[in-house]
Amino acid sequence: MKKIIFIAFIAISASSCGKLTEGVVRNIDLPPHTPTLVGTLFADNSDSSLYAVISQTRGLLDSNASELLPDAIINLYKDNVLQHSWNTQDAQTGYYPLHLGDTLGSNEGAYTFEVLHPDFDAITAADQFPPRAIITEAILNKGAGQIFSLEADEIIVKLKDIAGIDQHYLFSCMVRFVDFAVAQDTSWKRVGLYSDDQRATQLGAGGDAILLSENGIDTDLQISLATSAFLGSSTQEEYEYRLRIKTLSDEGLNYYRSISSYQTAQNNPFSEPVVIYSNVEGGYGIFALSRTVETIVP
Amino acid sequence: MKARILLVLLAISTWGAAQNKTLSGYVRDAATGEDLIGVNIWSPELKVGTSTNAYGFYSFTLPKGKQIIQLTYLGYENKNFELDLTSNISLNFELKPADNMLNEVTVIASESNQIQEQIQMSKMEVPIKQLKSLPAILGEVDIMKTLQLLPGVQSGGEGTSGLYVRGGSPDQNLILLDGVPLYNVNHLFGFFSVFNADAISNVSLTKGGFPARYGGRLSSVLEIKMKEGNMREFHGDATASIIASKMTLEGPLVKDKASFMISGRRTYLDVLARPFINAANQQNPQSTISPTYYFYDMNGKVNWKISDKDRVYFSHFQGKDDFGTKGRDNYDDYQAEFGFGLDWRNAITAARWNHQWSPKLFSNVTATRSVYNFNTRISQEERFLPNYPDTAGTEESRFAGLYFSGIEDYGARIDFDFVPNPQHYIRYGAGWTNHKFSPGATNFEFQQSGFNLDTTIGGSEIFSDEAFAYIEDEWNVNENFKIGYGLHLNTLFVENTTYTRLQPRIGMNYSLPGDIALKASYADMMQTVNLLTNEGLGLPTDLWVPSTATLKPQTSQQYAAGLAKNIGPFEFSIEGYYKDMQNLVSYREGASFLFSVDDDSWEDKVTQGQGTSYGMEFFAQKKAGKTNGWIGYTLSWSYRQFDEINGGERYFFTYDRRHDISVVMNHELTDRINFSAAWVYGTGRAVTLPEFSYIAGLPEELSWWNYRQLTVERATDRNSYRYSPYHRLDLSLSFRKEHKNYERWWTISAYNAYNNLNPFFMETTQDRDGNPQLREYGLFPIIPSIAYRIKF
Repeated sequence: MKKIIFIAFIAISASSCGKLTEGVVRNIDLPPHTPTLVGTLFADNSDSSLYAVISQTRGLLDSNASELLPDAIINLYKDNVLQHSWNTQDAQTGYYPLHLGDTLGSNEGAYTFEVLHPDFDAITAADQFPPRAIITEAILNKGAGQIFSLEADEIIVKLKDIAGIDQHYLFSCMVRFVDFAVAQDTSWKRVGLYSDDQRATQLGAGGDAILLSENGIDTDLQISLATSAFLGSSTQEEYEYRLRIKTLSDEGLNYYRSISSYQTAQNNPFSEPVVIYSNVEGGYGIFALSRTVETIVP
Repeated sequence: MKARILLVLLAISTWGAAQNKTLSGYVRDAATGEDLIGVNIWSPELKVGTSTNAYGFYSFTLPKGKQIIQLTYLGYENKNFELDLTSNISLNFELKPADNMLNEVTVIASESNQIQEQIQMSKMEVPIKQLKSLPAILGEVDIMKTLQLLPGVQSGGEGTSGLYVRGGSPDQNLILLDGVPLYNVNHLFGFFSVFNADAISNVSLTKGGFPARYGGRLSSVLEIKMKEGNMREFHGDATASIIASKMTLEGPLVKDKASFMISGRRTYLDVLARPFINAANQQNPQSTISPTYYFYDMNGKVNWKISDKDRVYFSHFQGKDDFGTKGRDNYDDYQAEFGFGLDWRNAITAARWNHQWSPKLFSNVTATRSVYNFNTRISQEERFLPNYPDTAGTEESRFAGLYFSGIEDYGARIDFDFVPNPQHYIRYGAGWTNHKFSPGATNFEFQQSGFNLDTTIGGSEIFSDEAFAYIEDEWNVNENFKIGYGLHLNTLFVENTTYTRLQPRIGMNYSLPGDIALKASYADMMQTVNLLTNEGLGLPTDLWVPSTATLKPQTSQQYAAGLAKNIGPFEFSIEGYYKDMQNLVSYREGASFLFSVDDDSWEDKVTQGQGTSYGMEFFAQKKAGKTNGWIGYTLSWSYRQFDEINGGERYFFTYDRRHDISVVMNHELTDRINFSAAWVYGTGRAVTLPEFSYIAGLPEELSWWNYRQLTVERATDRNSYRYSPYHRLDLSLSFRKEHKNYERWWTISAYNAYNNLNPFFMETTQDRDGNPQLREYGLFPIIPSIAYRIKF
């Protein structure tokens, strides 16, 4: 009898291991998902082309993957007056480009983004252009910065406050050699930006941009940025930086933060879940307006 | 104003006690000489009583003249005696352990220790003997796992040691080992706790109605007391189980004057696995890999009676887990060595001095140190030899990364027990703690072809000081009404910022007809240390961080009310509670400390919010008799609300558990065979499921060339779905045999006896037809184990 119990015990234990490796399929009461439209449009005053990305939602247990949607009509209104309407989908990218011929500009007023599609209810989103950044000073200190303890160039930027407005700045940077005869290549190239400033948030793993928000502190700002252009090894050649400062609307700030967090968290199993910000009514996505100013440093 | 009222109450209550005399002293175990905590000393005629404190001291003031005194304590023979109290008398008692340690008669005879007599509510005690007889995973008795079986206390998930008390998180539990806070209680990633049951003499858990002497955490106080060591005889206790062995030795240093206790435990998975790993590596000697894991812990305690009125104690605990893997590639043209490891260690030290100033006044002075460190290390060295393709000469590169965090406390406190008369038991004291936090730093070293990088990211140390003072009184107003009230004042000094909070505490017990106690309590609490934890996994990488100038201390207010009654050997209680919590700390969405190589400080990655929990608990316990155990049921709700999480909307706490049931039974089949079983059921853990996906547009700063899209998964609400319910049955059978010089036990047990796969994580997979499905994975199937124990 003892032997039988012992053998049964071992058999149950051994057979139970299969459950561990294969797991158990469990039915969880997921409500049926109704697909909705998703639209994304970023518009900056310096843009001469706009790109709308239109897709639809797919339920968790839907065997079809998410894809870009054809047959959409995109409308852009200012103060409820239609400014632009387009429906041509780029065959290669799947996006809906609108080529303006000139820069968009940034007029005062309420802008509305609308997407129409024969298979879905329309979606809309609204935003306004934020004020542009006012740069009072931008200084280059060669070799004065540090990235991961390596020597780097430092750019110090001072920005003037606009009273009563919570401003959100996005810094990005490019670099080029100025003497073609020496460098053989004087085209602008994107470089990474880093900052030790506790108020700043790094976007993108390669230092793609730095986000800095006033966060309710209505005052002039100064930030020190380190560039990854000549990391750890200085160069004798002459070069200059083109610093871009984009001001974001509140909608833009929320979206940049959430999508950047999502990108960072994607390959990290220990990250907290991220809910992507959306300001679209009737669906998901984002419509965000911004203004960009540039300065050459030095 | 509150303090004035308190002082007036104290003055009124002590007035007119001049004709009384005081009986005082210590109550000890007759066999070992160890102090007994919570022994009831009772006057049946006057219907008044007191009990021994945490050091076995009592003070009992009675009217002058002849008095009958009764001493009762679970598992010990009762003691009744008469004495003529003509003056203050100092009298030490010794109680003999009952033949059957869980003797039913002994408990029934006790009158004053019944649950309906106590002011304190929401306090749970499991006799250590009962605890050790319950089923254990892999034969290792675990105090934390047993506490998870109590109502109002939930586990974090399969195999974990964390306690989630009344909707709180594990950092909200003040875990005191011999009075010293312990920051990490996990071995083996939480599957075992650091508490070696053989070295423990007493365990109590307070979930609400906190007396004023406790502070610093919001949700519970778990007090664990190490054995003091036998004052009379040398004894040992040793156990060998499937994964670990342990041994405890105790005995007198000077008989009836000084004693010691030392206990150690170590796993031997690494030793057992080594031959198999070596054999596997011999199959492919050019590329080898050697994983290893072990943990150990040690407890030690010395105590010395300097005089009848003075006693000193010195106790120490340390434990360590070390997990690592090493690999080596050794080819003709390429050589490499790599390693990865995690280790974490705890150490606490306490020195204490007890002094009896008068028959009514007792003090305890404690100096403590508590340290917790966690390290993650990764390294790789590569050598490309000249015959490697495209290599001119030998090329070498080396990479090493180290992530480390920790906390170190130094503290001191003084506590007084003043017992002016049987109507009042007054406690007061003060203390100070210095904290040093090292909240996570990453060090990288990289060397290749003359390029050297050695940098440290994050992890600047933060120092803070915490001071507290308290006063409390337990007042027996009359035979039917008792009240406990007090104030706890706590101040934190950190980064040139001061946080101060006066925390009122009150509890009452009113005797209803039928000897049913109606109890109610209110406790205001403040917490100045925070554990940043990933909600999905209970890893030792969780970071302890302080409240700072920008991160406010956590606070809570807990209201509780309930009924309690003893019927024969059974204790019944039903309690309801409501708890509000403020300034709770959580990671922001998407944030993580591990594998996050950025320059943001930890404060940038956290956010503060609110929490609410409420529920009802039912508990029926039988502590004694051939058949003993308990049934517990909890109905509860727990929510969180953070402005920066879930769009600011309230959501279920991950460990919100609507129903939680536990049935625990221990039965003596014969004098030599003991059977025990524990069954638990709990509503599934809350989980965030990505309900749908879509293609989102990327701004140009985050896009790669002109690829402006990213497929994202999105949930409508955080934690809006549930894992499958958790349920498990554990069984244990032990066989005892007495030999001439020792006793031995064989214990056979089965964890998860009916082999239910309790979910640990979930993922979306595809079935054979390519349709997506949700699949849950568990950790433990049925786990049989055997253990052998001897006691001499």
